[in-house]
Amino acid sequence: MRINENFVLKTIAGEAVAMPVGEAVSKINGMIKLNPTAEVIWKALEHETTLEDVISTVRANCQNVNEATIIEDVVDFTEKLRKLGILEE
Amino acid sequence: MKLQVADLIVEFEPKYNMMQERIKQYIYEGEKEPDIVINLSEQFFLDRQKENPHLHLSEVEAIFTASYFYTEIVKFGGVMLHASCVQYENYAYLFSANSGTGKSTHTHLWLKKFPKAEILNDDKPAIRYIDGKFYAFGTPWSGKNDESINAKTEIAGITFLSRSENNEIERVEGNTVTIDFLNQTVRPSNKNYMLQFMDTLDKVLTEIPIYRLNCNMSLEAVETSYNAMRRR
Repeated sequence: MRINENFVLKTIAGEAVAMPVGEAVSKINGMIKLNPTAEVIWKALEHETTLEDVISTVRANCQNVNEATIIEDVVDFTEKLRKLGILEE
Repeated sequence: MKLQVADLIVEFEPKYNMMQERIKQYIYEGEKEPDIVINLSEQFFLDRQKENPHLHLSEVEAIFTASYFYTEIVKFGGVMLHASCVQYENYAYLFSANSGTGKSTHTHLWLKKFPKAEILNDDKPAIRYIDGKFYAFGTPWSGKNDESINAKTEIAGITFLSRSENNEIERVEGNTVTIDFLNQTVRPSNKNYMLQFMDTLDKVLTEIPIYRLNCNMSLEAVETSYNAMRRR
């Protein structure tokens, strides 16, 4: 799975913001603000990857977060992205 | 014909009377090559008018050439904000809000309060980052009444305005108005343009003082915004 290439991620005024481009503009008219954990998950998903790999990336980057929370965050967030059509299988 | 708009050379030959009139104060007779070429065909305007039959062709041209110019300006560290911009004491003050909120009413109160104040652009000023400073520019695209002057003025601040019975203003962090700004600009759909646009927006919201103003239509509203926003 990976993030659809019609989304770009940048920091705007200290916050990670994802914006649709190209064909995605007609599907999502807005922006997505990401908290620091969501940003790590998003970046891990910018290249073809697996749920397990995303979880290990988050584990490596968010050392003060416990294992159960990491798994829950990754599963919830990828599910959200999938529903919005942002995540491709 | 060449124009100089927002310190950029723009090649643009308007086809209809409204833009033909509005470009007059921007005509450039120098030798520089154009940075931006606006070349939308008559057929393009006719097609857009079919989709928007309530618009006159000259309005269609104004709307779509504005959108073209303000998309291209992204390549030059620029961005448009749907705002009424007043200049006073060598600084530009931008007031942004949805149409009908009263941004233009507010800047016209400034003209009453400060006889030397001028409207820089009443609807769509260009913003550019040049040599470490942000400037607002008048452009030929300025809304219904063509209130715009060909000038470049350093920005004192950007204020997002709401109507209220009382007047109050608060300086806010840039990240609290990201969505407000996005709702009042032209968002590019091309990926490379979007990446540049987001870089510029980041700089705008980090470096320019940003405010939220609740205001009524009294002259006291001007005191409130001027006292908070003016550079000391």
